[in-house]
Amino acid sequence: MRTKLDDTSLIRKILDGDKHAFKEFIEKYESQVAATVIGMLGPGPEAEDIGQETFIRFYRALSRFRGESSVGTYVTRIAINLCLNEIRRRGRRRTLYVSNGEERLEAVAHKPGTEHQDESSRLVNLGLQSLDPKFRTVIVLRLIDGYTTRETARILKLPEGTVLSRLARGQQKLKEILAPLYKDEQPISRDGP
Amino acid sequence: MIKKTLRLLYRSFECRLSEREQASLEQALERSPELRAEKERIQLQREMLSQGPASSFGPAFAERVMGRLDAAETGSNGWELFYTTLLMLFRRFAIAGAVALLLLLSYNLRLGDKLSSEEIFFASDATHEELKRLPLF
Repeated sequence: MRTKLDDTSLIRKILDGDKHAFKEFIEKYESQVAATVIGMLGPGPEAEDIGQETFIRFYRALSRFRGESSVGTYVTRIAINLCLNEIRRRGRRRTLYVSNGEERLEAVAHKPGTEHQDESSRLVNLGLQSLDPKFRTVIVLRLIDGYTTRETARILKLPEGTVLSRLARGQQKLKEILAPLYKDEQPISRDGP
Repeated sequence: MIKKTLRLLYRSFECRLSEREQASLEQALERSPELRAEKERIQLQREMLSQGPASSFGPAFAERVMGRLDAAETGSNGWELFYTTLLMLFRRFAIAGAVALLLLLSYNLRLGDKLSSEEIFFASDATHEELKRLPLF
């Protein structure tokens, strides 16, 4: 049985071409990348695709990794950039963010893959997917991934003040979006009896 | 609710407020039940977010990534082999063509009495009809 390696040893082994070490790396960072990607894109096959792409890009860019940030931050940055590209691509394909809040929620509530999640997770997803990406990004990094405001600012290459104001505005908007659902008490069990 | 106080409330979750700001926020919280309710809502929302959306792509995710990586590597190796073969094949034709062209140019240069591109390429006064009469056509 293999013992768990620290990041430095893992990276060294991956650079030496050890595929098992890369698999171990994926297993170690899957939950972090999943939280970021699913937070940004919502659950579903597109999110998994971006998750896979994140690790593949990381693998290919590893020789250029200088260790200026932690490996986790580096992977998150790749994931966030891929998510933002995907959101831009989606935006070109179809406009999800229509002006009416109810329509936005409907659009997300009927996305495949949201049926079997627990209530709070569904509620979070509903709200997040209706948020403008610039607010969604800071909320995902700061409140879901648990990065500090400074780390969030560094990942997004934004001033800390901007991160703080987007965070506040994002939370306010999220509250507004979720308000009708809070009021109903059984907000998302629309398909129930 | 005053916007400034609300901003202060949100900031209080993120960073340490100055003593003056802290005192002002506490006073406002004492006075306003609406602000207290807002604070609770923010707390609840942050808790919900920290529990987060799903944090897994499902079982055997690592295997799927490894499979995709292997497929991509095999694919790129296949394309690489194809391009190398193509390049090798065309390199021979290209060299042969270049040698033939050089020979033709030198021959034309020897026949002609002046050094111009028209003479070199044997295209000085040739009309369409003359070209058609050449054995090549």
